[in-house]
Amino acid sequence: MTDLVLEQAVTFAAQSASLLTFDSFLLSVAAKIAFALGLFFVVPLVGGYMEHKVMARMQHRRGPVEAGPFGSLQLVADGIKFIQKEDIIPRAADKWVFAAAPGVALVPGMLIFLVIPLGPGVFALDLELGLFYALAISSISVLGILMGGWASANKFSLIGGLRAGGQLIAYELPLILAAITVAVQAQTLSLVGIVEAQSTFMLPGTDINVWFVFPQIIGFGIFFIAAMAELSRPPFDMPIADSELVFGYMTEYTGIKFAMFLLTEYGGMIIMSALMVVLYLGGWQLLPGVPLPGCDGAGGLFDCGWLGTLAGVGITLGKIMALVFVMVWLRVAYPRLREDQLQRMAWIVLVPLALLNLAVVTVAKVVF
Amino acid sequence: MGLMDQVELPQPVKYVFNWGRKYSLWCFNFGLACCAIEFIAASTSRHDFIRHGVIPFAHGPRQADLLVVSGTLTDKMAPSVKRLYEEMPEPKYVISFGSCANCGGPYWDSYSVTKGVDQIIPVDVYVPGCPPRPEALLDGIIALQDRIQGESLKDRIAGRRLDPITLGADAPLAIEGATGGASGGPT
Amino acid sequence: MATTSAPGVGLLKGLGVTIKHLFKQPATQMYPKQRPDLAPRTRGVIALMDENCTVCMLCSRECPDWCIYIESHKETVPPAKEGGRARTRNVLDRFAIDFSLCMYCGICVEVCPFDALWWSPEFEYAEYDMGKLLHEKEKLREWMDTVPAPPMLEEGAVAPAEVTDAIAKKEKELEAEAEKQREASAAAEAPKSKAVESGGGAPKKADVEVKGAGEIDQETFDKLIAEGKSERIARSKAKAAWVRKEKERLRAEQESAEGGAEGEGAGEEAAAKPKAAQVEVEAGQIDQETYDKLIGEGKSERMARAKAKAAYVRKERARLTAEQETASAEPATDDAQADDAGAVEGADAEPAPAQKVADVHVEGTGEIDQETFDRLIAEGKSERIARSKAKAAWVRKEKQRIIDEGGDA
Repeated sequence: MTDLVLEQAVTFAAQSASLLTFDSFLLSVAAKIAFALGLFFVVPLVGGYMEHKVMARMQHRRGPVEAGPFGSLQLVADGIKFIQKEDIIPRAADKWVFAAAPGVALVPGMLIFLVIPLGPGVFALDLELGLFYALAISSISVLGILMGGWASANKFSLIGGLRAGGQLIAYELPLILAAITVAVQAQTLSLVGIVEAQSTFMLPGTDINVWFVFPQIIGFGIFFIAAMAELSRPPFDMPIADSELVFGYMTEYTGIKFAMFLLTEYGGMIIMSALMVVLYLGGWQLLPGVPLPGCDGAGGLFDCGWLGTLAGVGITLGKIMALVFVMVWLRVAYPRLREDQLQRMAWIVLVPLALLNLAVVTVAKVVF
Repeated sequence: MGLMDQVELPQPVKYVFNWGRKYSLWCFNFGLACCAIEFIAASTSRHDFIRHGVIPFAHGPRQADLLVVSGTLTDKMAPSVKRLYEEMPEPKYVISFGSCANCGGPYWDSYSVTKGVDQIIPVDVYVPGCPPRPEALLDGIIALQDRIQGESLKDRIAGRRLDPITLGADAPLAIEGATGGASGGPT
Repeated sequence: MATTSAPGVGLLKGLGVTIKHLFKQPATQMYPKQRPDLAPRTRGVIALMDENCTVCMLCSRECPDWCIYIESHKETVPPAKEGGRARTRNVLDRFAIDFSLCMYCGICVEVCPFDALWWSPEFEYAEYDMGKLLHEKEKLREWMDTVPAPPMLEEGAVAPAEVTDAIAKKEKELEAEAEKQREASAAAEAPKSKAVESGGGAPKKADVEVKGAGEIDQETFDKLIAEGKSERIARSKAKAAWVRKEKERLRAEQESAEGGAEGEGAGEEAAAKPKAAQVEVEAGQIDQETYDKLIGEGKSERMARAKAKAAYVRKERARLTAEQETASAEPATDDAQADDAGAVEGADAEPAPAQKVADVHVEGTGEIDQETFDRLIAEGKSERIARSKAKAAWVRKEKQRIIDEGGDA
């Protein structure tokens, strides 16, 4: 059994070299874990701060000002506070499941950061099945949500958890179909490979390099909507609709456990944005066909000096934040959907559209 | 919280922890009358108390740190406020907003009004006014933040009044019926 | 929306509205830093002008909440003239409003027949303890300073009888004064010749009459302008200086005419020095120098600390007293100058009957004294306390300023 896993691990193993791979095995592991954790605990805070500020400005407000310079430490203050809060476990709750649920929801988010490439060589792992891995892991967090909803022994939590389950299953389908379409076009499941494929993809019959967002604009739209729904972001926040279900599956959670759920949500925003950047928006390419400074590799994407690496990371993070901005924008602009509207949209609109998209792209791939 | 309410933390840690609590007051508005409108006004773009870290995103009492009781508290409603307060996790803070919540205000001799929310739950800051301006709430919040920055969590928990203030000579306020659980989840 | 346009247009419109607001200036008032723009008659708090209160108890009886507490005692006033009847009057001992109970209906303000109760826009008096919301008359009197001036009369409105009466009275006084001046100037002419004849009877300083108003002392004016004073203040001070100089010159002339030397009458009265005990010093800090010295002498740390603390308080007090003296010196001379400028009556110029600080009304609430604020913040006080103290400091300064200007004008 162990041998089999190891063997598979070897076959999955890296296609291209990660900068975080050192001669010493332990050192590499430590560096990679630190990379994933650092990403997971810092970037979501930046995203959360941006949400605060953008939402405030769109609502003609100022947002956090007092905590830290320009309120930038607002989420840090939140975190420090959550550590100190009393940990309440309802008497009727299933204690162990109740306690484990936030962890089950949180850990997959951390694991996905292992495969997300931020720049040339700036990733922990380049799995051959990277896309598959990311999608598979991301659907585990629904388990945590269902656990939390069930174990709270609260009717609002239970309904919220079930709603979340229904919503995530419904939107997983169009999400995966849209992602598969990209994999078909790129002919690889490796996330780094997909970025590379985008840098070499030419519009058929011409010499113009474009990202996958242009041939697959429909797929991008489907992925974006499905990602928002996956994250229960407004306007798809039926699982935590506070006018109906107090706070959904989080109703009974306090303190650090609640903070873990919250971090999962913000981390999810970053993960989904990062996946969209990698799948559709050319990864760390500044513009289609423009090589990074100091990069000699294929398409100006690899073998970069430190300047190119930094620029690549900056570009990826910038694109991620731009997508987070759009998510916040939609949150501010639109009211919440009704539960039946949500399901109708998933099954009647998005799934057929995604299948059609897949068919068209597959045929086009064979023809051209 | 466990250890935190029994051990006095070293000064730098205490400072940081107090700072965190000071600027992260997830706020639950118990709106009972006209004062609630002023509270809402304080959250709108003109006054915007999110600037001070008072975040009105607390969907339920479990996530709230600050309870703002704004309006006339009737005896019928008192058990709900008491219960809601008990559902909040420590450390929790209460602002009594407006004359009615302070001590009954215009209904000082009414048969049905609780003469002040501090008869059933401990109150940290009293904001006077009928109703107070939104800025008065902001002033109260700043006063509360001052208090949080200087406080010791250990002393706070130790000094927590466990029994409700009794009205008159004998019977405590009738709140026994509250814990039976008429709606919502178990406590 | 579906009836008017293609599907999806409404969604885009929504996005357009929100993105437009992203680039607009937010409507937020940064409250503790920026003052709210309150309506002039805002019902913030009820202020008491306790001099006006006659203890008629109307407010207390009309209050729907019974939140006004008044206590008084009777005092017998001796008869105004010989053989008259002694009268009794009420003296206000306590006037308290319980703001935790008050419903801000304003009936007490409406009903007060002697304008003792006023609305002030002040609203920052949240407390940690409900009992502290019961404010006594001293605090209510302080709020009186924040009451805005009454609104202007409509154009063409008939002035109230009290005002017209007061104006008539003042005019009469002024006329009488002018009459006196004329007499005095006539008298001033006379002693000149008389003095020569008698060779004695030295004229007093105040007897010298300076004619011509409006000239200014250019030197003083330039100096004050250079010091950064406002033109108005500089002008008034320069005017006073001119009068002083002119007087000096005239007297010198007079003296030389008399041939007799006469000691100058000190016109300016030095301000009473504040006693050291009046200066408040915040204790708690220690004087490092003393501390080090005592430690060096082998004293125990505790002893050294206590002594150093005492030394600090002493030093600080001395410093503050010195500061106060320099600070009070200026207004005092201003008063004296003002006296000189307006001096027409006989006798040595008396120090102006100091305008009572309490009589001055300061308009505008909420401004703070930045200096005090910064100092308190640097001392580690909380922002809220610093702000309230700085506000009080501002009102104090503003009052002082008004008194100074009033003295000059």
